[in-house]
Amino acid sequence: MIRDFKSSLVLLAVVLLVTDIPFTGGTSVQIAGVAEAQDPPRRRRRGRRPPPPPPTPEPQEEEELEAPEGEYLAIEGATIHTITGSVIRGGTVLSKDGKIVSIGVDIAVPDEAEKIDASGHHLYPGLVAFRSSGLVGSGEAEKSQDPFALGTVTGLAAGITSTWNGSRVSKLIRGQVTDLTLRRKSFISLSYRSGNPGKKKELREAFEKVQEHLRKVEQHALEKKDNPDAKAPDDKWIRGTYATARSLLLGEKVAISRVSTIFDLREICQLARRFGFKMIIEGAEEAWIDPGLLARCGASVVLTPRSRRDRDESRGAAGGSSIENAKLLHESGVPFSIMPASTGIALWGLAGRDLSHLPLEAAFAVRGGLPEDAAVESITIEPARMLGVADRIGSIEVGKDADFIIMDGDLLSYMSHVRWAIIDGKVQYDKMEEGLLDHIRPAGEDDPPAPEDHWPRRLGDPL
Amino acid sequence: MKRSYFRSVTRFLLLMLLVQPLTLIGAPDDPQRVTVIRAGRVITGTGEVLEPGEVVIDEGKITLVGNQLEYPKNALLIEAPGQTLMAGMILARSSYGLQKLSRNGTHCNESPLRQLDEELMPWEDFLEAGFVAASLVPDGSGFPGHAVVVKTTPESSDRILKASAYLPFNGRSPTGIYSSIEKGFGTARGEIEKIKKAREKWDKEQEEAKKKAEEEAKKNTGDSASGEEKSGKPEDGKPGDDKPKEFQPPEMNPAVIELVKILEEKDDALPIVFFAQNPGLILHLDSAMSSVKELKDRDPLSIFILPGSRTGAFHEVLELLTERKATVLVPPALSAFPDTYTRIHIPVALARSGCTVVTLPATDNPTGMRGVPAKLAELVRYGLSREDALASVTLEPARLLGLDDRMGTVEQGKEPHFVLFDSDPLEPGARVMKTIIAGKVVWDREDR
Repeated sequence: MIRDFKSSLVLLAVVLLVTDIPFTGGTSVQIAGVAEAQDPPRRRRRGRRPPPPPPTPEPQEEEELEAPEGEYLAIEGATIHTITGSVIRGGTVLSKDGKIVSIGVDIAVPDEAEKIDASGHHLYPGLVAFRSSGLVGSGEAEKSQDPFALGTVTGLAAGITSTWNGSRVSKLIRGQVTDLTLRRKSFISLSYRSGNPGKKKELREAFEKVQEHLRKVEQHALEKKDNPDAKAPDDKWIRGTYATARSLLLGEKVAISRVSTIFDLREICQLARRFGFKMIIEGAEEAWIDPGLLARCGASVVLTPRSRRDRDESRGAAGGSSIENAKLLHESGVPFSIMPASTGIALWGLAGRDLSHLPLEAAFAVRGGLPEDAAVESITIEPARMLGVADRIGSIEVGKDADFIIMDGDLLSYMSHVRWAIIDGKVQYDKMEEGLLDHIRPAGEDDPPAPEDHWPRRLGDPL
Repeated sequence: MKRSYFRSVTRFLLLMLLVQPLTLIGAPDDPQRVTVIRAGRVITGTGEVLEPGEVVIDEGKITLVGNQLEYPKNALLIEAPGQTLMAGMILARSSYGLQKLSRNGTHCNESPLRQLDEELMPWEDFLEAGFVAASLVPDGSGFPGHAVVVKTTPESSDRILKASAYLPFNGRSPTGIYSSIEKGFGTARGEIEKIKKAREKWDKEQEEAKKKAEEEAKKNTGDSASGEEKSGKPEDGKPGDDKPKEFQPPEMNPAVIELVKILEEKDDALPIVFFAQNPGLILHLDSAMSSVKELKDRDPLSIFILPGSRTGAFHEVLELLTERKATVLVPPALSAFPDTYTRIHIPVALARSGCTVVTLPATDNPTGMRGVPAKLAELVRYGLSREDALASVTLEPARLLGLDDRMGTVEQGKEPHFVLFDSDPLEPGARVMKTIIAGKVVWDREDR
């Protein structure tokens, strides 16, 4: 029984450690996992809403039943894919005030809880799109989101409940403009490609110079113990590139870089190993040639399994994209999340490579040999870890946010649709109510029911 | 060309008014003659329809409404057999014909009249569509100024019906809304602080001056010992030489005086009318307003203008608007729920659930204005009563603008502003035949 929030955090950290072991060669990701778990992101609270209930100790279950206060939601009968734990068939997930309070078979459910009968359905944590545009505003979602935007609905219909919009990790909540942001997150965009050798040199030198400076700072700290008048090294020159280099070297920020060829991957990994900074690589199409490379430098990867890249004939070596990329990286223990080629959702699924097909992109990696559970992780807990919100979302665990999607089939099947999307214990999307996909295999049937009323409506009909 | 012709018509009519009594009856000159309009039908707007009907106007007011009325022999008769008379229509928001001069930011003191060019203003377009009054609003985002209600007559004297009716607030993006609200009310708060500080300072000075005067008085009247201080009570009987001067507050930034009134909950504070280009902006506005701590416990904003386009999921905010019994200025065409089988006619849905609906033209130009009666018919088609539909361009806008005691219906005691249609106004193809402002025919189709 978990007594208080702190111990749940410790437990979470342990879980992260345990689950990370099979995939991670380097130690930096484990450390990152622990650091994230101990430093819960601050959540913005604005407007007239009352402050959130503090994450206080969870009361005993009996007490809960005696004095049931708060909003309960129970999803019953589903096959629960917890991601970080086991799969529970015919189980129930109970949430209270937007947080998961218990998971299991035959658990006690208060009478006044809102119940969803999800028997025959599959329950997953809400999907996390590592990067997106047009799903939740731009910048601070609270001040930019259109609460009735179609993009949000289509995102939910694709199973996405949280995403990083380029500056904040936000939830796809409709009809409100408060409490959307999970945390602020920014990466340092790094360009270190063979196409621009001058820039590469400049960056390397900046790193060297800042590293030298940091050594001096360290030395100064030691000197100061004996001699309080020791002069601190000048740091006025640390601006621009130097400042970003310092934040990377100090581990305050994570670098993000789009790298495709094995040549560039080798170069940037060398840089990362030499200076020891954390890094996320987007693309990494040719990483399959030397999957251990990324594992050794402790990088995380954002993969697009369906992206196509031809071999560079001039180099003569192996190259180009491979369907096995995800599988090989997984086997080498490189943590990765999966994203479609387009970060938008405006294509309306016509091209099939935008965020409305996020699970299908992961399924394509399974086609290349990736285990299914790893594919599901790559669109749930892995992006959550990379975005530093794994303590809140990304898996179904007691104490985490009640963000679920309930699918009418397996998540990775091309036949499956999201039946309900739930965020913070509230139904945000219901396929049968939305008029978006309600006519496609409604409730498992083949044909949609005939509409009761057509346009133009008859005069005198109720509105 | 048109204008000069128009002016000559008016002049001719005025001349007729003066000349007619002398020529016809030969009575002593009586410029305050009674005017009588005899129409085939009069829709009073109070639920009554007179067929035929007569309206008697005396001294700029409606004195009698009915039929077979008695009136002086020398009365000026306006005959409109077969035509329908109703209260002149009122435009609740327009910037049609104003010169482009948009200002962004907070300028609550700006008047749209500075954008009005007498020579270029197309008053005739308003009159031809049957509008007798218009609430003109300035251009720009944020608080660009205040609305001024004018009669649409070319006669510039006595045109203004209300010098400031409301504060239009335009937000084009959520960020714009947050910054405008923050800046506008922030400045207003600063002004209040400034005055408060000035008053404190003044009070302090007064106090000090009083003390000084008392000490001096003590010196003069009391003991001769100068260095001593007595703890005894000072004499109250003598007020000394400090006269109770009035506190002169420092001048306030005129651009935010209206916002200061709102913050201080003054009775004459103007309502804010928000132009919601899309439904989500209403939520952002609420969120922005709730950050103004003085307004926290008060009713949220409840006057909205919705856009004329069919896009935008305004059905999503029906409940929100209904809850606060909002006044909604809306072009009647707005319907929602694309790509589904059900359509919701937003204005009718709002009216039925208890909101006050004020009809605006679909577009702020002559075509839009002329189309208003047909759009009203659309409202009726979707289930609004005829009376409510007509009230949405007469009595309801008058109420919104605070002019319902002067206009909006054909009733005894109100001002004689009318429009005459050649058939029922909601009949397809109904045309405006005459527009009457202050008892005078200012536009007549027969003169075209």
